[in-house]
Amino acid sequence: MDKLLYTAVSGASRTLEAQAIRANNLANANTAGFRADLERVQHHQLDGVGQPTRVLAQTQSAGTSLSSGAMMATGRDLDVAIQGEGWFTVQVDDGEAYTRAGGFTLTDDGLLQLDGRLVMGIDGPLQLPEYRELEISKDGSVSVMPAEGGLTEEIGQLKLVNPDSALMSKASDGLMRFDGGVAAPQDEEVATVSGFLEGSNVQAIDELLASMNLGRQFEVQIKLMKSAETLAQAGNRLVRGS
Amino acid sequence: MQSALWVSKTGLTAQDTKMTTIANNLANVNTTGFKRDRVNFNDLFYQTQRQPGAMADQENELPSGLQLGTGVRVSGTQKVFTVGEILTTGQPLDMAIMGNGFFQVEQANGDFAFTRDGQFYRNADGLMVTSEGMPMTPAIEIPEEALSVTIGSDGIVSAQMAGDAEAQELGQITLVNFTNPAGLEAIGNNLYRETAGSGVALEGIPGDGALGDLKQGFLEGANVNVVEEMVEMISTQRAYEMNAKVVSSSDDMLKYLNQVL
Repeated sequence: MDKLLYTAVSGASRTLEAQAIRANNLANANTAGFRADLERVQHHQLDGVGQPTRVLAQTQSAGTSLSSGAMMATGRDLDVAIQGEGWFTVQVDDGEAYTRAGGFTLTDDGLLQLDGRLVMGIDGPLQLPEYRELEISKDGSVSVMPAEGGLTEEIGQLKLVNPDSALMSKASDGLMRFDGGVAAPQDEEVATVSGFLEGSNVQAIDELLASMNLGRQFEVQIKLMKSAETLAQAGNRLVRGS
Repeated sequence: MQSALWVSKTGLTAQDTKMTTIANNLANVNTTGFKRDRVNFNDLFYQTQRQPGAMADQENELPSGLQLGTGVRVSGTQKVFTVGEILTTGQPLDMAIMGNGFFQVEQANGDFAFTRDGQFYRNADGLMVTSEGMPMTPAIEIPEEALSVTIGSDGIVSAQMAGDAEAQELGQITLVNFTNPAGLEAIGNNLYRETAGSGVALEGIPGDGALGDLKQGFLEGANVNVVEEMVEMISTQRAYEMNAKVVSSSDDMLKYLNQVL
């Protein structure tokens, strides 16, 4: 069987995988704090008999885009965005995970959480008392004015980290892990702003263009498969002698 | 089948849900005491097709693997309890809460419900009721001969009686608060119901703690910001279109495959 067919198949299936990554980015174009996934293609040369003509393509994840998303003013006390670089810390089964989505909510006993996971302060999960007013300052300190009034008191400080981005990777739950699950140290330089949410950093136009481009590439691969078929038919005709 | 199709489908569904919420927010822009809903999105789990660090051959490791995301999901809707605009009405039984409290009313089945809508009426028995006729708890009865009703900022209701120089105290309005108001369940008619997520209702006198003072003759409008909703609507619509574009692009790919081969 002609090798051309298999080479074209590797190109076509790579295109489908890349399309799935682009589609996922676009599906999350409005997900707060979402970081776009990057894709790249790697060549795989297959050595064998004859000339080295078979170079297959394989899609690889190329990590996550770490650029900032647009800031959206929400005016809600518990919406926090990070300016520049840095991550919020949440508690997961296997330790700590990191995210940019800062739309915090409260449990019925006042624990700060993010999509059902506890938000970590410097000294463990943050728990708020019943409060009248809440303020999250630039360094992530959470202060509340108690329900009975009086002086504002500091409850704790959000654990904000900014580890080496080369060691950050996205886990299957969509949250980032540092160096395969190690807890990253607190970073004092990370600045937060309350009353804002950070949008997704997906560049919708780029994704859409890439998606259309992939569609055309796919057609080229299919065309090549068709050529392989035509060649094989021509060979068969020769053998049949008709 | 191609996963891009399903991934985009989740995008379309999520944007559609968001549009419904925006439409509901805009529809209630003039509803007293209405709190806007917000839809929260989350990325779905990732499928690892090739593990990073797997062996490419006996010598070499793959530098990076391949993780495919599976789309987006609506993780929940959330009531945003920011304060709405305060409107002057001059009606004696209209009240606005200048804090985080809720009025407590009794439903027909005896359960309590909570509301920010301070528009009350007098029913045939003289009781203070909501526009749906549910009595306020604790019940306040306004006698027939009352000339004018005054509600103090601390919730004390008093009335001036015909032929009586001194005002008569009719009762005390109490407010309730929750540790996590966002956990309340909206049941329509401007009412909320207590859930396990909200915590229990903590009752108190207006002005106590975070409950806030009462202001007679004022109402709290909806906290919907029309411009914000419009901007959200545009971004939702465009995101919807882009997801639809990927669906059609994926469809074209499959169509081409079927036609050519």
